[in-house]
Amino acid sequence: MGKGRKVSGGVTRRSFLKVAGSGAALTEVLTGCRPSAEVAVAEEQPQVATKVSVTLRVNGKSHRLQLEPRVTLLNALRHHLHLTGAKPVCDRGECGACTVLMDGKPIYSCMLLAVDADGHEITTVEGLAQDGRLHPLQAAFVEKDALQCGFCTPGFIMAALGLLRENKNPTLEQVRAALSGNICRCGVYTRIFEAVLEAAKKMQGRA
Amino acid sequence: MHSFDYRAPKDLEETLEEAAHWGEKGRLLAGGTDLILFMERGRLRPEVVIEVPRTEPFTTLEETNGMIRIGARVTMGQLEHSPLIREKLPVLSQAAGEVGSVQIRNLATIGGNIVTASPAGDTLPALLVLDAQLMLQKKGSLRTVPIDQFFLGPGQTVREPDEVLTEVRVPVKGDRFVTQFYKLAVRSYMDIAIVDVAIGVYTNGDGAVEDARIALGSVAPTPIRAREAEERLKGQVPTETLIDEVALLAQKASSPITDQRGSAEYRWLMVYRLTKRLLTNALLNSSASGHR
Ligand SMILES: Cc1cc2nc3c(=O)[nH]c(=O)nc-3n(C[C@H](O)[C@H](O)[C@H](O)COP(=O)(O)OP(=O)(O)OC[C@H]3O[C@@H](n4cnc5c(N)ncnc54)[C@H](O)[C@@H]3O)c2cc1C
Ligand code: FES
Ligand code: FES
Repeated sequence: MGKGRKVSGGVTRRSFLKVAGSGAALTEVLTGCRPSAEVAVAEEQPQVATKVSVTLRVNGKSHRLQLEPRVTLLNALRHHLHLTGAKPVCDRGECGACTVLMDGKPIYSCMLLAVDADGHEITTVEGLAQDGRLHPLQAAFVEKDALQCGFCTPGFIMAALGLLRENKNPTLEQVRAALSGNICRCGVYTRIFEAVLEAAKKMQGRA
Repeated sequence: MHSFDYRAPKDLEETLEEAAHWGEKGRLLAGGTDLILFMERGRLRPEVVIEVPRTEPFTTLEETNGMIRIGARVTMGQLEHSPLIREKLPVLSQAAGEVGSVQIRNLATIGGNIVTASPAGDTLPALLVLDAQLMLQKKGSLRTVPIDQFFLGPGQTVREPDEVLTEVRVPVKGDRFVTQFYKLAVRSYMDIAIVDVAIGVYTNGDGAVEDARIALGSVAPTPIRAREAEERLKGQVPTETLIDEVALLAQKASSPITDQRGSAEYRWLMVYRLTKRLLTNALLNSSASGHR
């Protein structure tokens, strides 16, 4: 994924070679190759799809992007909006590290095309802290030491936030079920569950 | 992932146009939880991806004239939580709630689960038990296919490339139709079924079974109904011996294979055990509700 065959400036390799191919000398200068061989290789490359205009609404702000349809929401967030909270780990919907909220519900951003997120409200972990103050869930993760390497943490926080939006007072079993789509390689699960239960209490003003 | 072009039709009509125009070169995209993965692995390389719009009838979820209409784009999460489905079709709500994780269920749709036609698709045995009808539409024509005639093999169905699944219709069978569902998997969450069993029994006031459905997943090239087992129950007041016989007939209907999740022998044994357990539970529940 993300292996767009592009040369700089958003020109596709193919369209560039087509243009450049008409001037053999230019091609040679720019690519260091003999043009005929390079053009032949280029013809075998898959057709590069036309970019589409996508408006992503992330953490309350709208961003207008020109993207190839194959770009996932995860890659759009990371590579185009430089929001690196959502992490790529498995890139196939199994680990939860890329979890974000779409219209308030947790989803895997690696499993959704960015074009498909157009018109929806996306929330990433970057959108949680307000005026430099951590969200109660983030604060609870710190307080309960609910991380080791921390790579899974944004995904867990977003999945937990999705739960707490629908269920303000979850049981341990409900927390476990809601977080079953997230994997922590360091195995800090117990503390993660404690942090979520603690945050639920805090958010209801019970602690 | 390979490069492809993208179409976002606004409504049913435009979707049918796009599907007709691209035919085999196009692929419909709903939740994407199967399609993105297939494209990522290079198993599918459509030239054009056509988004199924989030509009009616694709998003319909309602009961009209004794029929529950479920749009193809209704998600597993919606089926799991919808009060209508929980009350009227608990077996479907339960099966949908067993798919993947919360994050998967918020994207994955019923239409995608059906058209992917995995032998392990969790909602499929439930839909078989419910006699679901699939509405397949293409430009200028509409046909209704009963779900037990839809699957041909793993990933293979009677759907033509330009046909769009618009909705699933399920007749409401009432309180006397009691259902059960069980997904057997290694992990309790986020795992593909080793065996799925769904059961529905319709009993009359005297405790005799008027009609029965027994559907199995992950134990044959497609989800299947164990028809001989169903027939054996009809008209009978079930006894322990009869239930045992029926479970053996269900076992006979299956043709499991060995894979990394379980051996053929294990699956075969589990079909027997689970059918027996679920059938017993269903009959207990139906006699319990009969006394009310
Ligand atoms: C991590 C993970 C875990 C999973 N766990 C489970 C599980 O436990 N149980 C289970 O059953 N499945 C599971 N799946 C598979 C998948 O989530 C389901 O099959 C899901 O229901 C597919 O729906 P979708 O909307 O995402 O389909 P998509 O990927 O959008 O589409 C799937 C196929 O259906 C076609 N299609 C979609 N909508 C239509 C339509 N309206 N008309 C015609 N064709 C259409 C598409 O062209 C495509 O070929 C899992 C997948 C992942 C990635
Ligand atoms: S990176 Fe998306 S689920 Fe693992
Ligand atoms: S803290 Fe390291 S993966 Fe969870």
